[in-house]
Amino acid sequence: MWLIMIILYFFVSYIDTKSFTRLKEKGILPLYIILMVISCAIGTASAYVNNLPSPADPIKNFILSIIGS
Amino acid sequence: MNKELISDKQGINLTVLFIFGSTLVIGTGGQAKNDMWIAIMLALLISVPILMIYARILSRYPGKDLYDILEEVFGKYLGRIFSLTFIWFSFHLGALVLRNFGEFMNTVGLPETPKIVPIIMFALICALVVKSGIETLAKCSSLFIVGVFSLLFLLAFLTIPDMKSENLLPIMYNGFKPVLQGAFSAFSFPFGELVVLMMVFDSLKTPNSNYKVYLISLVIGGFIVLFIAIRNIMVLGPETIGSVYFPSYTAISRVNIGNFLQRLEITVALVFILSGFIKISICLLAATKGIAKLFGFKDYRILVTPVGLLMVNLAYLIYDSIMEMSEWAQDIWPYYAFPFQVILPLLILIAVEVKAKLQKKAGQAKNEAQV
Repeated sequence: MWLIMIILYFFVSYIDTKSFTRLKEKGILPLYIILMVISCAIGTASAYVNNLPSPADPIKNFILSIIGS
Repeated sequence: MNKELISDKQGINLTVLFIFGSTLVIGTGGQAKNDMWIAIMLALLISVPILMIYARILSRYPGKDLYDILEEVFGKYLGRIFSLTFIWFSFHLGALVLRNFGEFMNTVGLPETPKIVPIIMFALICALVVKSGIETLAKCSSLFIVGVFSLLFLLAFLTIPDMKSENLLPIMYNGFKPVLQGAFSAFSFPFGELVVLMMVFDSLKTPNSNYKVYLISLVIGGFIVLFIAIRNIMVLGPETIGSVYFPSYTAISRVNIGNFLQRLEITVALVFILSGFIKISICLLAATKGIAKLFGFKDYRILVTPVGLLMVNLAYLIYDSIMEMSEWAQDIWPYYAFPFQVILPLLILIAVEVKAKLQKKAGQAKNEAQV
């Protein structure tokens, strides 16, 4: 699921940036990328947590899975 | 970038649909039970001076939105801090309405579909229209309002056989306190939410028409909300209204004309989709415009997609269940929204008026010195 999320974000960004060819303020691009990365990170983490084996305590499971126990 | 302009009529359409938003489906002022209609009337009265505050702030700086006004009145840094609060409010409100839509779809139409699917679809459509600009959004609202009003009047007409006027009685049996609580709730949702329009009403063609747009919209939208509340109480009764999440949907599902005209509840979903679309789009537009201005950019359109996707994330993560959503909307939202809807605009108005007086005095002193 999290992989699908990342692929979808890339796809949406690709289509979205197609319309940037006539962009006058190029400085806005870093902000666009930062916001997209934050959004993708939240979406991916949420998808990852929701698909962990036990839904009883997803945050705890997430942390435990990171530290490997 | 050319400045986009909308007519007063389009502004009214946008505001009325913004008021309808999710209110017509979720309902408001539920604390007052069968006195809900009194609570909504009271909320309408409370809303008038508050909306006049919004209009006064905007009319002091014609052609400027709230973010520009904040920066001009409070300076670059303090103004941007104030802007940040309003960006958050618009963003959060958009996410809440998006979640309402997701829950509605999940409960009444698509129980097996993951909630995120209708939320993403709806958000992408909203992002698309916001990218096209406020003019396109205003044109959409002019089209939608015809459909929404036709459906509302048709449905009201069809529910007449199911209405029981005794459901409105007894009046104020539990005293005035629940009515006041209901009025406070009804003020914060939806009338106080019109503060978000301060971020987009720089686009009104006629300068200083904010008063007119706000007042006419409040009268039209407010009376429709009041009418729907009365209809729901008369059809369902206070007990049923308190136990369902979407009272209008349940009320319309009772329509059965000669075993032929029935299952009309889909029209409620249609009204929700049309008005919710406008409300989410306006919130997204306000938040995106604010973020672009915060970082000193003129064109906001590029940021619409990432902000919209962030809104989707927030909408998905914000509640665990529909019960939590209902509890938040009824018990927490009025207190949470109060500073954004009343305290901050009041502070801004005071600052705007003080600054205007100081400027006037400085101008007079300069003239006298020249003479």
